[in-house]
Amino acid sequence: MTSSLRLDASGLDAAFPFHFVLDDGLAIVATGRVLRRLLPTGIEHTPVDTLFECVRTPAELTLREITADPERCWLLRAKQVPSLVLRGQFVPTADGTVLFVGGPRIDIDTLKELGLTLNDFAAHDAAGDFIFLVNAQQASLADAARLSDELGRLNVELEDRVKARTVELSTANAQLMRTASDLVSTLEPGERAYSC
Amino acid sequence: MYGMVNEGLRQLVTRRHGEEAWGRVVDRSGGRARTFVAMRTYDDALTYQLVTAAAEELAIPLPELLESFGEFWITDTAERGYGALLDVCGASFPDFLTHIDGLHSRIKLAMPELDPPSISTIVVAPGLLRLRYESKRAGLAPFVIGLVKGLAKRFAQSVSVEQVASKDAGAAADEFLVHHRPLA
Repeated sequence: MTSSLRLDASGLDAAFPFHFVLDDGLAIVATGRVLRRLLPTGIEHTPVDTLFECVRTPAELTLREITADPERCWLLRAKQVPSLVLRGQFVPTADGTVLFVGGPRIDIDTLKELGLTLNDFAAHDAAGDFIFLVNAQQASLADAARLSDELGRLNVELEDRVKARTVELSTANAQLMRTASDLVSTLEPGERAYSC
Repeated sequence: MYGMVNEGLRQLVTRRHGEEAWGRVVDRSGGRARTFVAMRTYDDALTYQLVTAAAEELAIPLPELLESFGEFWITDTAERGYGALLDVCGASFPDFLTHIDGLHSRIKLAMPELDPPSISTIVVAPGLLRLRYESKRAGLAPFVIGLVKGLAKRFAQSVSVEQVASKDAGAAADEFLVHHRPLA
């Protein structure tokens, strides 16, 4: 199935807020609404390799390299904003430009450092879901530690109660023995034999 | 509901009224468990029983208790395990509230049993939001008011919340007008 799908700038912004578009000379011609906020101003017409460098592989950002395989995953670090690492792919378009679609690699600290919130991500982007997942796991571990402490505390409380009860019982027992012995000592020898 | 809700109520009651008061609340509710596993799901009925028992035991009207609980939920319960996460859920008070449904859908990956309400908020004018709350759970409008007030605290806003439609009174959903402005 083919489609002559065209997305205008606002559609691209909504779907890919971290996208950018390069002309055939690899200069930036457009950036997504959120990426625009993170990069220095006035970057239009700036060559892409003055703004970004490859993180994982020492690949050159040449037209040949980036258009060789649209499915290749790229990690690009913003040279002026080192905590911003974009993960995505370059897709050649029908009008001769190259579209980069992707998003930042994130954890909570990076989000804060970049001044981003989860609302800056497209609705389809699951990156934010994983932030919740990781956080929920950490919270679960803390919860398990809390429950374990609670269990330990209850156990100590129970042991203390058992000890206290044992002492009480043994005191009561001793008292009983003394009373019985006192009673026996008051009996006449004949009665004593009978009582035993 | 996830155990963290019941656990949140336990924290609220023990913090404000002491451990013994919580023990009495649990006894009055007819339950046995005094503490809850945050990520385990419990029957909704248990939460309702606990909240009702707490209102009776502490002699606080139920709506008032629910509102306190909603506020406490944001300022303490969520803050405790999810504070850093809350920081990245919204750049401002209106931004947070207008995206809350999206946040609930993101949480589903971590909490698949979550059955969240639908909360849609529109900005009517600067400083004025209209919030529509739809839930299959009854009687929780005061809890929502508390949540909004707790969030306002988080974003250093003074806030007033006015309920303009009530599901209990026959409306399709609960609706609120939220007036807010930065704290001086």
